[in-house]
Amino acid sequence: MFAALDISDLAKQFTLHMQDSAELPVIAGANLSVASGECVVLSGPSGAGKSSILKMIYGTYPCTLGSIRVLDGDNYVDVAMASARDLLALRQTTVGYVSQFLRVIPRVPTITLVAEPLVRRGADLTSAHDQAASLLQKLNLPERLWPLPPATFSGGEQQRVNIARAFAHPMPIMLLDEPTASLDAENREAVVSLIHEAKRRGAAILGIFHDKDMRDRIADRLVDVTAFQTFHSINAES
Amino acid sequence: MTGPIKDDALLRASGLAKIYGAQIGCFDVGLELWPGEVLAVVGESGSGKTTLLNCLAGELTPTSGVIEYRRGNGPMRNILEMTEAERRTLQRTEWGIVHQNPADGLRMTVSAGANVGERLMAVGARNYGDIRSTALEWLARVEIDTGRIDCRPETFSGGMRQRLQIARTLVTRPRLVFMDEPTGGLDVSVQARVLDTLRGLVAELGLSVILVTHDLGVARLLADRMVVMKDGQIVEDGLTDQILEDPQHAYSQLLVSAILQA
Amino acid sequence: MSASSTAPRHDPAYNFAFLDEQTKRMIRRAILKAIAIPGYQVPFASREMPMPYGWGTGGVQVTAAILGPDDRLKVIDQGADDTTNAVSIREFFRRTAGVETTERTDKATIIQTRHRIPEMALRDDQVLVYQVPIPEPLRFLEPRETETRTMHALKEYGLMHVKLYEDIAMHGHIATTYAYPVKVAGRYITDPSPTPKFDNPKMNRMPALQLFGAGREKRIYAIPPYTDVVSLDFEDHPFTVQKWDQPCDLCGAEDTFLDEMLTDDQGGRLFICSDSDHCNRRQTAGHHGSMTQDAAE
Repeated sequence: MFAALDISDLAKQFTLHMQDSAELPVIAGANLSVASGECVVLSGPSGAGKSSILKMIYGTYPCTLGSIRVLDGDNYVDVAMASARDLLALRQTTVGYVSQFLRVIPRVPTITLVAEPLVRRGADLTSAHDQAASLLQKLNLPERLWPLPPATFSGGEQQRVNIARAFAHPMPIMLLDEPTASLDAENREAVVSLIHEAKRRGAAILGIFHDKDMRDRIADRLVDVTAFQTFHSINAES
Repeated sequence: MTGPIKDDALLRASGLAKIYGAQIGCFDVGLELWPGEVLAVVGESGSGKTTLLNCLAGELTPTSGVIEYRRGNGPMRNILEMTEAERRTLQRTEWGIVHQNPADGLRMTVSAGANVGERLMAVGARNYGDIRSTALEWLARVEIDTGRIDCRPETFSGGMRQRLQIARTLVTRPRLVFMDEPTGGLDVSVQARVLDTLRGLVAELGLSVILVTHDLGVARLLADRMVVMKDGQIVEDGLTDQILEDPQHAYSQLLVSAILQA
Repeated sequence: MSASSTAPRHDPAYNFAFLDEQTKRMIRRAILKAIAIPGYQVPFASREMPMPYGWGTGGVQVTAAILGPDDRLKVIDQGADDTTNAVSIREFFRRTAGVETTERTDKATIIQTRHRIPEMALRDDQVLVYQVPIPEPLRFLEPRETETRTMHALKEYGLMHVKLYEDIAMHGHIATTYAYPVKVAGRYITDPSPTPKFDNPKMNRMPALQLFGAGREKRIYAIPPYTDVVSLDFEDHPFTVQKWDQPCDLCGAEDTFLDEMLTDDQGGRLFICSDSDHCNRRQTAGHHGSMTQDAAE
């Protein structure tokens, strides 16, 4: 198996200009790789930098040091060096990200929201809607909710809409930031099977799951991020 | 999509400056826009973002610099070296502008239908029935009661005027739209609905947009990328979520923190 | 009316045709440029004339600049030779230039007009001079002169159809009945002055030279002989001219522009040709309308 995602010597440090340019190191010296078809789960206490790693891979946080190589087609792209334009292209074709929060356009029906990532990539409306419907079915979202915008849904229902959106288009690399935090056992089961399906088609998955049972069901490996906190390395270089 | 191709840019500005006597409008600005992309230009009032927009849209002649645009599938051409005829043809075919004040973009003394129809007639439409049915279709798309087609925009609310301006601008399917605080003059409740409409149309028509706004919420909802301006210069550019969640420049941090606390 | 052709009497206190020679040269240069660019509005240094704006100061200056001692001048207002404005201007040139005047269209070499084109077809040895109040056809929708000039320069004429669209939207048909915009020689959109659209077809490929003078607005434009003049319209709302459901009450003509005249306080009215010369000559030739039928019998 080759690495779909390869992180080396990654460091993140926030500079807070409004607090006299205080430096706030989050992680340093992070090394990890995820193979195609593999699911790696990040572990460690809150505040240890798990989400920061996912956000750096997605491009939301710029990296302070190190590299994040992502397999895009036949080539590796270093996210740490990539332009905003390259990152947008990666998000379109290669890297998907699901957070625990549903951030969508208000007033748009659920079924349209789930179909949108497919339509945006050129699928025709009918087949996109069919696919969206089958995903929502798998995730046990009652059909009467599909024509409604999700703003008034419960936390668990919103999370399932979010997951359906993320899994609608098969991405080679998926970043999952506690997407199941508000789900009950039955619905978590549905997500587990979606993740297994994604692995079978060769997706590399890097996730954060606090639920131990969930972790045991999907993780091929655990990586403890507390190992990535040797901050002197940043100071030594700067 | 097989990944970014560098030469695919639709619009590219470099070394752009507009100097008003001793006053700097904008200075040393460089940016690129790709097809289908929404770029927000954010900053406080006086930061030079509207000056920049007007230069890019061909409304203002910059003091120095280059603005290249790819017309049709042709090569990149400096719009500042085009004839006025060519530039104005661009402005009424491939480009569109949505002004903050709808009165600046509308003809207030002719009917809503004629406002939408004007751009069609400007590019040669000469069938009244066709023009009228297209106008009706666009009024419906921007959620204006089609029964108001023969009313003058003078009788419209601010939100309706802005919707009418959007319909008038988009009816000829431009490729590139310049928007200057498109929801700036509207009540908050009206703002959200106009933004929904805009966002839907931008996605549906695959528009490329340069959006000037001081409202980071508007930028978050519409833009793929952002540039932050201060004192006439770009101090930071990046993905919208990057600048909102992890701004790098001191000024961007100030701007973002001010919004999030509000 | 029979004394329409009388011996001229040039008042020696005035230069020929009132204007000084330099001014006439300046106006002739503007006219030549206007002829060279059909339909284009040429700015000129309009002079103060001894009559108020709105009384034909532009037309008078154009006439003065092209008038020669051998010309025969006809002046009409709303088609009639006997209205105040027409009589005054005719008298003005009789006194300042001593030229012969006439009411007969076929005898005139220069015809100055307000609001009408004579019914009789004009010849290529005649010149028609229009008095124009507002020469800019785009002014209705675009108040900025800088912008309308650019629109003309770049042939951006979508706006002109906005006005016609509004007409149809408001009235169900193109309700503009006078100053109906035309495209001259396939290039410039031009205001035919406040003539009724009934006369627009006469402008197309007219053998006579058509000159337009706007004194207050300081513009001269021209349509050279045999130039294409097309009235704007929509495919599904084509240009049409006014029609009357009755003939002229005086001469019985069915193809002329008719004026409505109230004859008493009991609602009595007549429809008669606005072109008084045309109507008179038809009657002289033996044509009759409902009013003149009885008298003839």
